[in-house]
Amino acid sequence: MLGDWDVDVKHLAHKLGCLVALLIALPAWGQVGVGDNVKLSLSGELSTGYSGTYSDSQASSHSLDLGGSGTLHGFYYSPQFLSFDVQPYYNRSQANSAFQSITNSNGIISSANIFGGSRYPGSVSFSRTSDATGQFGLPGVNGLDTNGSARTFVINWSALPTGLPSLNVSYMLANNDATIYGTDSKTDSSSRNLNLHSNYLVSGFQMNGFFTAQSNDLNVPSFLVNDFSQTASEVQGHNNSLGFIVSHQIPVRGYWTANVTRSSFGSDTQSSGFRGTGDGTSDAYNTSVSVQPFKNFGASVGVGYQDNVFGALQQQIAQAGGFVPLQNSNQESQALILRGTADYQPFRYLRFYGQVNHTEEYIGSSTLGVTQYGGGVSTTYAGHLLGSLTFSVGALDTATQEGDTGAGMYGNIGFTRKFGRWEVGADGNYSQQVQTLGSVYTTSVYGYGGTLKRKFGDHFYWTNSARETHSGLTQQAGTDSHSQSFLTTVLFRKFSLNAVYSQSGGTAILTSQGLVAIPNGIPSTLIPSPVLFGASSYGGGTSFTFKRFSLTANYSKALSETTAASASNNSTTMLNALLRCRMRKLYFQAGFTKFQQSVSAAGTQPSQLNSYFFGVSRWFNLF
Amino acid sequence: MTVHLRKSLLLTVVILALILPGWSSENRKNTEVVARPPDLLLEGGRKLVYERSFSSERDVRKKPGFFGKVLNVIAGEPAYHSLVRPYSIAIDSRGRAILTDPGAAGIHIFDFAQQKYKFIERREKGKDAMISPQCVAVDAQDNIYVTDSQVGKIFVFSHEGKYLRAIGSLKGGEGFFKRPTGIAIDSAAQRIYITDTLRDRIYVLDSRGEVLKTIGQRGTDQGKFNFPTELKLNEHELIVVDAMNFRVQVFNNDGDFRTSFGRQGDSSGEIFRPKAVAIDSEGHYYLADGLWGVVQVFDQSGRLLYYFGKSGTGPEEFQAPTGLFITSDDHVFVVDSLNRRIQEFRYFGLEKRSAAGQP
Repeated sequence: MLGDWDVDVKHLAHKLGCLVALLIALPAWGQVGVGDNVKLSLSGELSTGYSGTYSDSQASSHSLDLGGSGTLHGFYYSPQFLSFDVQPYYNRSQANSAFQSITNSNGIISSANIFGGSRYPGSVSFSRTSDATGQFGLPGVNGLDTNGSARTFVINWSALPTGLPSLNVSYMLANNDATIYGTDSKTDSSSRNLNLHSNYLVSGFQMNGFFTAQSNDLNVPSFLVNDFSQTASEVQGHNNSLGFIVSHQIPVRGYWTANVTRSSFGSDTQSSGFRGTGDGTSDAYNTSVSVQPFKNFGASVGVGYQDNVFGALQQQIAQAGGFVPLQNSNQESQALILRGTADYQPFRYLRFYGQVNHTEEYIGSSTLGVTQYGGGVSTTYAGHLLGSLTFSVGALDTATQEGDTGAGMYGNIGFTRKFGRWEVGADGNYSQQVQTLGSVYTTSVYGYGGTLKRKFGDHFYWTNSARETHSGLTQQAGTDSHSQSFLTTVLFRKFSLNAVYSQSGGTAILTSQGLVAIPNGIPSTLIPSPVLFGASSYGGGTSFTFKRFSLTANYSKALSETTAASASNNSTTMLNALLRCRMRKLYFQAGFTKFQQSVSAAGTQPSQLNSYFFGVSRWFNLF
Repeated sequence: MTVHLRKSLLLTVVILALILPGWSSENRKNTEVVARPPDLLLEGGRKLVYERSFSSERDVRKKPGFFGKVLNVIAGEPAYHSLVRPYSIAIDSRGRAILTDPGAAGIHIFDFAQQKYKFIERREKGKDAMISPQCVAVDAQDNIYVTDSQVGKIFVFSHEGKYLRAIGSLKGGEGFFKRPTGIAIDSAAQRIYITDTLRDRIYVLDSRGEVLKTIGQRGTDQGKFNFPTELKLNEHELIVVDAMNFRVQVFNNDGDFRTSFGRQGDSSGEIFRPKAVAIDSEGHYYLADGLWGVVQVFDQSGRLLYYFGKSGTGPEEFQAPTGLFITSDDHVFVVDSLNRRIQEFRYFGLEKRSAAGQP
């Protein structure tokens, strides 16, 4: 035991030594200065106190800890020439600081900017964190908490020469690894993103070109993987896009634009006993002309060609972070689309519009011709009687060579109005039988929400908001996704209280950030292994400040069910509180966290982590 | 090494880590030295002497003793209030400097004699919240009157800083004045003079806040105004900064025009952005120009006697001087707004030199 203590002390002493050396060195550096051109400012917080952890499943521990965070800001010559920020932190958690980590996290955030405001600005940033709390997301509700580390490196540079094409370059490299509390399986991801963008104006032609390349490596937890065995699976994917857009003004107050885009994608998914790959390219060509012969009348026509319709959908999945190849992604599919629109605005607040679309699709060996025509009306009003009101409604009828396939309609409404001390806002949108994927599928989407605010006296505010969304295919039951959320907040002087409830369900795809709802317009039937989920979460929080005392407390509970290879019932409960008392630059503080998370499919004990802290911290502003 | 010894060592290191930053910052702050500008020697043996500047609560508080210094090192210095964007100043009969600060939405009271400081604010007071305190004056009881140019009211506080009432607060919370700026109190006559800049006139109120009469109207003739701002009361004359007519007008107590001086220009003796006016014991008018950063001194006939200051950040330099106040013993206070400080000078005229010998 004494040997362990020696090791611990040596380890701690080493960290303390580094920290103290930093504290002493930095002011000395700032006071000595590096020539006349370097300006530095340093501020931060140091804390020490007694902390401990305990739970039912593991031995308790307690120790005297040192922690802190700092911000070093500086520039060389001028803030625009070269500026930088470095923010290290050590042993920061929600029990001893504003950091939202259950465990004591360590890390650094840094960034540097060069040639700001010039024609060649650039920036570099790097961040690293370890032993920090993260989230494995669930759509619409609190996700599952994780513990892990992350590293991110980003570099941006632009060249904006006068009279020549501009160039913007950005590159991001990110690595994350984490363990979901309540499981013993790990998730890790690595992603690389390169973005190039250029634009050039010559002889009235506005030209834009872009190239994006994204690649991901992902290991996902086994219990969320569908169709695979009970071992973790590994996914590699890439997604590139290359495009060119040109536009030019034409007579009759018109505008011509054309674009060409080539996208390529690929994925390689493997686990024991399974391997799936998918790749392809998708080319799109579009051009359109719009004119406005009269002040209140405009029209446009356009034509587009897509050589891989399913590939375009696959691209949407990739952009949402998913990798799973669509079932039909290798099927040959082309589409030729003709579009025409017209709009007429007889009055300031009233606008009529109409549209005609014709699509010729070639899927496999079959050909499908679809014609859609429809129109609508929209209005925007702002006045004393109705407050602010925006409203639009329209209808579309669709016909194929086999006859009429039915009408669809869509509408939007937005409304805000004050009634005395009440302030009411509402909005909604509705789309029925909207065509997706050319003419193969239709979907319906609706959503609505509202806010209600009330001021009582001079200091009491009550705010409420609610929102619900639904989406799904019309043609197939059980493929919808939905979410609901309610939030209420009470604010009285320096006291606040809030409560939130969320509920969601539907189908999702697996990404490096967790589960993400399938993007609108993509039939879930095309996704070979969607994860079914249903979740609800509720919680509340309060904060209170009285003179030198401040108290914050939060509670949340999330329950979810996920069905992939196996069904899993998940539960996360979190309670934390932080009490602080300020005396000049000293803070006496005590914090407490009670956390529990279980994942039934993992087959492991629920994870419990209770921690406490009481101690003192001092804020400082060195120079 | 025993466990107890190791723990003690760790604690010592922690305490040192806490103390070192505080020690270094305190030391540095105390070593700042500012060169004092030379006295301004004037015609006839008069002179203007720079005395000091102050900018925060720290300047008025008592210097800490040994235990205070220890506490400062351990817990840091208290969070002293500082001037953010001071605008106007008045000195009451107790010698306290009372400053409006629109940037901080409050009023600073510096009591150098008692080594006390107080900050008055009314941000969260519903319909009578003070948002943009502009000019300040005190009455014979040292009650503090402050114009709020944004809410259109005059707030009255006791000498202790306790809120007494709001003048011009209409039913529903709106202010009666469109943009009240300058204010002066005639305690003997129980009159309050308020400049309403957007209405181009001066309101004369009784002590209850009832309007007795108005002075002036929009125009360029004598006795008319084009955006009047600051005003000062000197015995029986009312001195008004007529900002966009680029002049200073002088009235008697009843609002009858007496004289004016100044013309638009950017050279000595001319006026470009007049901000504040004050009068010394010899009847000289001091006029602060906000753009050039100078204070020009005119005699009763409007002839330029001399000026002091220039644009800058050092002693006897100003950036947007917006407020002036001269005490009966000729202490001249200049609100150096964008430098976030007050600079204090002492004018030594002929009578004082002959009566008291060398200052």
